[in-house]
Amino acid sequence: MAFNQLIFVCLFLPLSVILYRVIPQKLKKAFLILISLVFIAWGNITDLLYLICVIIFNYFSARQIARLKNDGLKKYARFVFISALAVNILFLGYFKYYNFFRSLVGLPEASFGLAIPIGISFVSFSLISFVCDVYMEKEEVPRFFDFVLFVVFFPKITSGPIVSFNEFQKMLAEHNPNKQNLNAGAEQFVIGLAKKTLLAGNLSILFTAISGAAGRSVLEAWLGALGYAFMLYFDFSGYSDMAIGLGKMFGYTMPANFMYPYTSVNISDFWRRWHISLGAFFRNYVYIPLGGNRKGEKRQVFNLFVVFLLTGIWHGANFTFIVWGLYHFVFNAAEKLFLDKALKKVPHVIRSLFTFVIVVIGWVFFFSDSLGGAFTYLGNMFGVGCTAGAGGYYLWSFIILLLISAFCALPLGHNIMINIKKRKAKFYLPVRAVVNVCLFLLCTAAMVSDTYTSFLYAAF
Amino acid sequence: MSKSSYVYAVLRWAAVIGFVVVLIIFASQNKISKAAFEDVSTAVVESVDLSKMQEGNDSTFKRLYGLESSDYEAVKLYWPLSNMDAQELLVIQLKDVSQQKQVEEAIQARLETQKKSFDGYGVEQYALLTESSIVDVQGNYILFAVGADYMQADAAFKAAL
Repeated sequence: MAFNQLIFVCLFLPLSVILYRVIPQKLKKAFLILISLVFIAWGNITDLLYLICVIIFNYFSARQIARLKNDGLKKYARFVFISALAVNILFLGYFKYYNFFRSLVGLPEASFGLAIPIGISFVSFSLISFVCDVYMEKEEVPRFFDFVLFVVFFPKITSGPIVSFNEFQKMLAEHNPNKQNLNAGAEQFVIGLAKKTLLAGNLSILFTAISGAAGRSVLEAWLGALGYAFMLYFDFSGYSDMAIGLGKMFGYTMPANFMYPYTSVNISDFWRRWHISLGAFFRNYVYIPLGGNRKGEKRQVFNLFVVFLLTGIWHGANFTFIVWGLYHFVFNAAEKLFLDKALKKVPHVIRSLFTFVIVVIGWVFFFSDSLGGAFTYLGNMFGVGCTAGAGGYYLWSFIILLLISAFCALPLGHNIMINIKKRKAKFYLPVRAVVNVCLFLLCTAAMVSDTYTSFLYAAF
Repeated sequence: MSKSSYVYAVLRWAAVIGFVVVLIIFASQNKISKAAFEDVSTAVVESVDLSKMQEGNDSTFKRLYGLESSDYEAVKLYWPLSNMDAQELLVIQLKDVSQQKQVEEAIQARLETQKKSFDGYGVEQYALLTESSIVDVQGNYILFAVGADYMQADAAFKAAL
């Protein structure tokens, strides 16, 4: 079940919210665990069985680490910690990367196949952060059912945001299923749904038509890359908005995962605004433990290299993702060493546009099946190997959609609403209500008439 | 080491063993077929009546299922000749079994769309969609068949793998 399916929007969600609001406070957590398990099992019962095993393994690993530390047996605690990390990494590695390594070393194909469990990358990272925090004594081992909810909480299980246990503790402490949160959550959910169904869904038509063609002109290649840049943003930030909105509807506030990334003034800034929870994970559990920027420039560049290599690998078992990660590393390192100083005098808008172009070019590696395909596409963008195409037709057909996408990718709508609130306060709530209702109706119509499309990040 | 520490160790390794058992059970049910796509699709196609269906191409597949045929090893699609028919046949060879879920969801969505289209006025078509349809996932192959001879299609599909 996905958030953009009618069965979720029209049945699972309203039923869950209504029941959640009417049941007694002391049963709410248990109910949330129950509906999360139903959500997981709905897609595949195997996912549920896998999750039960990893929950038990990680919870009792943490308990054992805490107990051994308490008893002064630090060496044993370290062994349990390393074995817990190894099992989690093996779990992630087997499902996501086994086939990649098998093809690299030329092993024969296995005679059986296993489907990748739901949200494996997101769940594994949450669990790794939990075990690390317990080992580093940043966190105490929680009650079992708090931990279960942390792992299975259905709004975040498929594609994040990656929430550390520390953040989840805050969410539990600040849990408030009041009307205000319900309304705010519903509004954010509708905005996310609109991003996915109305924008990403239509942008995929442009991208599919251009990327699937045997050849393309320069204009087509740029339009395709631009379409993908917006599609990926609206797809994933739409999903994140829906997840965060759902959390709010149940009284839990998750941290933001996107902050208008296409307004970034440099690549470092982009990574503070794009998939924020993944960046935070790598910062807290890789970059800082490696020394961050505290051990000199050379070491900092090496640490960045490791972080971006892992960021690429995290996205998938393909050299295209590794090159995409390293591409971002090159710009990040260049900014730290000289580029930022050189660009400081350049106007803000120009820097943002420059960053946007760098990011759009980077997405070519991200969406291509192979490095060969990526370089062919990049060649097309710069006039190499182009064919006569229908760039004018695509531009004419999709210009409105691209302009709306650009408008929505910038904080313009948000600023307009703030202005209405400040200057015409009495219109603020009615305008918001009308916008939300219209968006919801349009999304429903799109879900009914269009075929279902899955979220891009569900594959990671 | 304290007694509780031993208990925790037993529980965590029991979970790992449980995980491996689940893995083995599901792996044994998810065998990868080495059969050629041509052989499988031909066997399935020959087992059903295609008189009310037409062969679809990549864009039909995209339009009906929202999926890209290039994402899969191979796709064979037959879809209704007329809007008043509901017979359909789809055979997909996956590149990877992790694609199973996505394809199954797309097929279910297509089935739901078709049911909604015929609910209330197309009694025969609706009955076909609800009672004479099958989605059969066998490792790296998936069959979706709607029609009176859906059982034959499934039998031919299984035999060809």
